[in-house]
Amino acid sequence: MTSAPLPPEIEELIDVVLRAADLEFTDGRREVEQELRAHFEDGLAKGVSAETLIVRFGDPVEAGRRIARTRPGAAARNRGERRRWWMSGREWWDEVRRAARRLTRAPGFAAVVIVTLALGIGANTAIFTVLDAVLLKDLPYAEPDRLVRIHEGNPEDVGGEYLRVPLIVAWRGWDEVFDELGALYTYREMGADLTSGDRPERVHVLWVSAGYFEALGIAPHRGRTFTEDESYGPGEATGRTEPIAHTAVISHALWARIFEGSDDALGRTIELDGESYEVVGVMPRGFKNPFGTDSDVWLPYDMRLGGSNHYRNWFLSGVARLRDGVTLEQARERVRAIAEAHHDSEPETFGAYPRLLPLHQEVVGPTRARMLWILAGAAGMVLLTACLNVTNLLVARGLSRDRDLALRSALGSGRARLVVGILAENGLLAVAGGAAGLALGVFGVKALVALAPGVVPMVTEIRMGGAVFGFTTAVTIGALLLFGMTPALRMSRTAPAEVLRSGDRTSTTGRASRRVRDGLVIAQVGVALALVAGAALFTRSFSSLVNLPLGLDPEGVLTFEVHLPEARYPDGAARHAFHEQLHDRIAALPAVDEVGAVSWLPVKGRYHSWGFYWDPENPDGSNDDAWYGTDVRVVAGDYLAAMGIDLLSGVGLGEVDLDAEPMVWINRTVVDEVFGEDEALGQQIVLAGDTRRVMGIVDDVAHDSRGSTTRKSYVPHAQFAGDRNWALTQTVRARGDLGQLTEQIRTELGRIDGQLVLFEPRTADALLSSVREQDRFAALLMACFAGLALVLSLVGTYGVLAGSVAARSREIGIRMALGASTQEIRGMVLRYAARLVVPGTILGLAGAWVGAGWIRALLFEVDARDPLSLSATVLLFLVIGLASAWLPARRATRVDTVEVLTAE
Amino acid sequence: MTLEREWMRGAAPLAVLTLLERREMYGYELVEALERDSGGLLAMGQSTVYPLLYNLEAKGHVEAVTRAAPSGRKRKYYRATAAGRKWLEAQRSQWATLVAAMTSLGIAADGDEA
Repeated sequence: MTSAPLPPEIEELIDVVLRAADLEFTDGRREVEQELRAHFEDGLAKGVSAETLIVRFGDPVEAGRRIARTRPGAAARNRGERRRWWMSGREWWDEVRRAARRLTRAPGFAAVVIVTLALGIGANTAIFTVLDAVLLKDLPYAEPDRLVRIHEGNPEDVGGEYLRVPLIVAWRGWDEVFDELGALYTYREMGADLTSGDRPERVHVLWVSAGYFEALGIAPHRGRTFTEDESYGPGEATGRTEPIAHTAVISHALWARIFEGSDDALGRTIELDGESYEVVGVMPRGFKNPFGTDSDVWLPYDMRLGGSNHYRNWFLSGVARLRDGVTLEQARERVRAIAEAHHDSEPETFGAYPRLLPLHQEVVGPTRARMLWILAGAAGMVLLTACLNVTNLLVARGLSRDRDLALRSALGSGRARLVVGILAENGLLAVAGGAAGLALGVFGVKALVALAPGVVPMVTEIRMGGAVFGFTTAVTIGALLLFGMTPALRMSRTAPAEVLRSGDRTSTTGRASRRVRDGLVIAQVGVALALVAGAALFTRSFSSLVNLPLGLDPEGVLTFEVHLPEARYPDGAARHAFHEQLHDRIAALPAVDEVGAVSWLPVKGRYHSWGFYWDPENPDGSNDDAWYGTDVRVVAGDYLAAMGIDLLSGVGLGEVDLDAEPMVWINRTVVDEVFGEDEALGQQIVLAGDTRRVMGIVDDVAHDSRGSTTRKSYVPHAQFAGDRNWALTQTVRARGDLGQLTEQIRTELGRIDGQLVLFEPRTADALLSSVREQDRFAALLMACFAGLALVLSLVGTYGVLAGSVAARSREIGIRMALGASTQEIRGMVLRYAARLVVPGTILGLAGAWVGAGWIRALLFEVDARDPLSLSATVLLFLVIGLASAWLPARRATRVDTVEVLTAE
Repeated sequence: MTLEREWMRGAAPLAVLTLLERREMYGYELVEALERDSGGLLAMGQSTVYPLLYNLEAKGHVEAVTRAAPSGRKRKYYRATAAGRKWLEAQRSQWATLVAAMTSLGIAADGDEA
């Protein structure tokens, strides 16, 4: 039934007639509509203008009413008709349909608005969802507000993250502060080979004290947790490797995997590194440790005094649940008071007290929190530019719709009706933009988590934040409605006839709107510039990180772990023999250049901070001032060569006779800070109970992604294998495909011992990028946000300039007729562009300057007000401003003078 | 010159029916014919033509049939019915009587209207 579309004002007129004729739900409506359409089609076909046809048609409302009186069915209904002040659902629907029709006639406008909204809403929904999950959501434990992490504080400030067993034993008795206090062994990541199943598998193990699960307030899914006796007593500790009780609590996942979720798992035994443990409990699905890695198995830690559990051994982490009703502040005061009394009776505490930190804060960490807030701020700024842009588009559309609105007003649409029409139009845009934004947000969250899993801790599942989406959408729709209404409201102040007659858009309201649009663009440029400046800083910071010399060469290096079960490798000799054999086999592979092993890889943080003694005058260790802290690394094979760490002087690890005497290699920092002018090579130091000769000086290697270094000493595994069962990480430098190499090594390992697992193979490059993950995440996201804002502001600037040129084509035509050169015309447009971009740039610079204080802490080797970044950004904006003015300027110079002047 | 509303109300149905008595027409044709044949005097607001047609149709004075116009588009053609012609006849004599009365009163001049 539908025929070719008519001009919108005629469609509008027909709608008014039909509405007044009150023919809804009758055949008559279609009949009348077709006839009216035919009327106008005939008129247009005869060359009569739409406006003439409309004028000749007369009052559409009156026509409709007369038609109503003549139609039999409608007449009766119509006789009692009175004007309603509300709109029926049907009428609303009509308005929406009409709005949709108007929008499909302006597809470019609609698309730009919807895409802009979608980008703003999508970016915000994604980043705020992550923010909500990481920073705002409670930890998944009972009453998480009462949970604290305990560090050791003491007057001499020697304590830190790690705690001493005797103190934990004392502190857990402080009932007036703590309900429960649990300790966990996070000093290093623990694993064990689980050999109960068909093939050996490596599982994550965590030693915990009794009270650990209770402090977190999570009951086991099946069975029980650890009893007091399984951890605290009676008797004395025998040694670290000897478990106090052979019981285990296992994760839900492991339970499902090896026991298929069966209830009779309780009481069964599992084999870990050749030792049997009875399964006494299963934790609920999704239970995670508050820090450290996830665990498959928890074993009870021997907390009895004796053995290595003494006052001079810091190695445990603590979590506690504060007593109900005790605030953090009260708890902090009380523990100081109790600690003082405690110190009086136990001088070896060194006055230590439990330093209480909210667990949530500990889990998230201050830098990560700050980074996420900054990213959220950036996303908010993207939303702001999006809103500014949409507003701008709406104002521009409002200008071009003045005539349309005037016409509708002349056709009898009341002010309310006009407002409703625009409301419907903007509502449609908002719904479409919101839906697209939601889709983009869902995708964005997935992308963020995939991009940086390590940045998003403690999150079992991130769900779309309903509140976040609602908030973002509300802001956008609010802006849309607020600014979208202005054309309709302005219309109500203007006489329709005046607008219709004037023919051009040079009214005073037009000029005011243009000022509004200019202001919006200036703001937009400002916001975008601040974002781009931020992104430039983050990018520079990240590139300094990536280019930072860390003291090693990760290219072509494969790392993996092999853990030797105590049962089959009971002593140092056996373990050393294994490593020699493994290294020989790997070295024989054709692609391999170097092979070695180390107790702790570079950039993974500080570890094993011990002390060494050096005083040639008093070699007996009597000089208390001659003790120096150093991080100790146990190394095997030619680790230094495999990792690409430079030997500065002396002999390499692979070139010495390890049977000759106890040896040590030290790094440059030790030389600089301890030996100074003295010759370090050949000196003897006391380390880990042995007097060792310094065989070589090694270059510094960073222990974090920011290139921090510390004193470091390297001890050969051959001379130290008996100290403990070192979990060495193998390092292999090779050519070619490392994945293929991994398989070859797996085969070789199987030939030595078929029960051993090649654990966590990865490249040194992957290790580096994982420690740089947070910085990369921040830089990448900032760049994305800045790019978005940049594009949006470019679109905004271009839109305003193009609109202005179109609106002033008459003026430009006159100027050119009066002899203005194309250069002058181009200059006019460019000057206008400058009036937008220059204040915007100044605004943005001011913003960047103010924001610098915020992001300083996250930047590496780049000043937050880095002149290079800022000036590059300004330059970029000036160039982009010029570029966006180029097309409109060119169009201005091609205005056809004759055509423009004879147009009206 | 324009006619007052009341005159128009009386004259318009007669004019429309007279035109449709000669030949069938569709809406826009009729609008054009009215304007042309009445010297513009009966170029009423077109919005009133359609209600008028519907009114005549409802009274049974005209009937409509939809078919393709010479342009190929579908149009609703109106023509006078037998009842319509009869009514028109009665109206004509009434008009003649009225005009005669007016003329004798000197309101309407005989045959030399400017």
